[in-house]
Amino acid sequence: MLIQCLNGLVYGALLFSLASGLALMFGLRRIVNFSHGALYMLGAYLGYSIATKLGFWPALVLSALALAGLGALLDAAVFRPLQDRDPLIILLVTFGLALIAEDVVQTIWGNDTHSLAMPALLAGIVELPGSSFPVYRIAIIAFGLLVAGGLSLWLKFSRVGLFVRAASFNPTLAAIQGVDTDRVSLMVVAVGAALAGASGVVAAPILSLAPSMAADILVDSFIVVVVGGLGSLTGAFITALILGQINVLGIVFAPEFTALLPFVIMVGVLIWKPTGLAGNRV
Amino acid sequence: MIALAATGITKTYGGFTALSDVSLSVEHGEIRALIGPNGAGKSTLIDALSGRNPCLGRVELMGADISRLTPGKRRRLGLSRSFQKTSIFPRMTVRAQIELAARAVDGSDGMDVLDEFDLRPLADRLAGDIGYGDQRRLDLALAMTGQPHTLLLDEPAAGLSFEESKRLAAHLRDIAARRGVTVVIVEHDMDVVFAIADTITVLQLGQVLAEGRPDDIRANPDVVRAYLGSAA
Repeated sequence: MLIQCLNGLVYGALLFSLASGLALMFGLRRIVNFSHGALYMLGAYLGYSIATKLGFWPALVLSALALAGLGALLDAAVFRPLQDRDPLIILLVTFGLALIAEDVVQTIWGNDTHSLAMPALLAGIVELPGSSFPVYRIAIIAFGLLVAGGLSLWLKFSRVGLFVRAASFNPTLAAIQGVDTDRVSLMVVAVGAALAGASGVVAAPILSLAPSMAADILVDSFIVVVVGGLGSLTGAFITALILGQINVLGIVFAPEFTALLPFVIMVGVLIWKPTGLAGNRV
Repeated sequence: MIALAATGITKTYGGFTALSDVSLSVEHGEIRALIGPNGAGKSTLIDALSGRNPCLGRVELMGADISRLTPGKRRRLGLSRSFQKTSIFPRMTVRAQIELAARAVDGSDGMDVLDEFDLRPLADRLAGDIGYGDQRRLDLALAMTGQPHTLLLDEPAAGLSFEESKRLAAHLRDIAARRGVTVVIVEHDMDVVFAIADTITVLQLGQVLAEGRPDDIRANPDVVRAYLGSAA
């Protein structure tokens, strides 16, 4: 049972580190980014290629940086020009970009699955009462907590964080008060993309790399963002942890309902509290 | 010196013309009141000047063309504004809001503004929890954060009591005189308007009906008929 709960935390941590970027982007740009899973996938594949030459840690850093650059490009070339258009257009464009990214991955890396070796430093096993647990999986939980803590401190205490909180609440008002919302959005989309890329690299040693990996986790990420409250990091964090537990414990205790349960919870929360668990708090 | 100039401002919504070829020229340090009946286009003109609402025409700030600049860029150039409804973030503290505007405009912490507008006792309270009169004061403080040289105020006395309106008028007069700030104010409270305005522009149906000194406007039969009535 303890092992299952820990595995739930591992999946929850991964979900949060991916969904946090999605939540931030929605808060700033009010966009539903269907290409976010593709950023995660590109991060994983880039990490895989870099790791074969330079090892895991440079792959993690370089992949996150490359994805940050791609995120900045995405904001400047797609989100900003389309910001005043019908949200459906952005939804369709990002969906198209996700399909293109999948094709690019298939062209470069093929359809076969790949796996990324975990770093030697984290390759051990931790002995727990009556069982054992891989150190790398504990490191993933720590990574999720680090992302949550880092984002929280950044939003609460930094100058840009103050701008992000204001622009997430009301972008027009923030702009009127002098905040350069375009610059703040570019930074946030870059950070969100970097987190997606880093999540892809971190997940790669425990999940196999395949072109379908984007779609697999994207749906759960959207559930995290919607149930947590669109644009809310706190809500996303709580929901990711809950969803992680449901995912893993569901497989053990009610396998036939595991896939269905997150959607039931989402519908229930939207009926009970349409703004999500945390409303529109950042 | 002309602080703020607008030429040929035109704004249409579908088939409705909210502003038609409106021009305005405000001297540095002047307090200009925009008055007129509801729907005359006063707030639309403030939106056009602040960049909130794109429109046809040209807007110049201190001689520089700012027509294509975003509201944020205009704000950082010294053109500030307030809204009919308070422009506050209800779930931020008073201190955080002032800091937000100050950091965005000039990188300072804005604490001098807290003192100037007597907001320090309320600094750690959520803006949504303070009284309406205090919220309007915060609104004005936010507009004044970062030492703007031109201020656009959209009905700053709305919802205030007679005493609060009088204090606001005195405060505005004081700010304009002490800091040499140019003020364009939309206001329905004629006591406030006639107490502070150097010049008044009267709008009606999206066009300039009259412009002049308060006494001339008060005596203008077209303005009396269209807007002031016997209240003047």
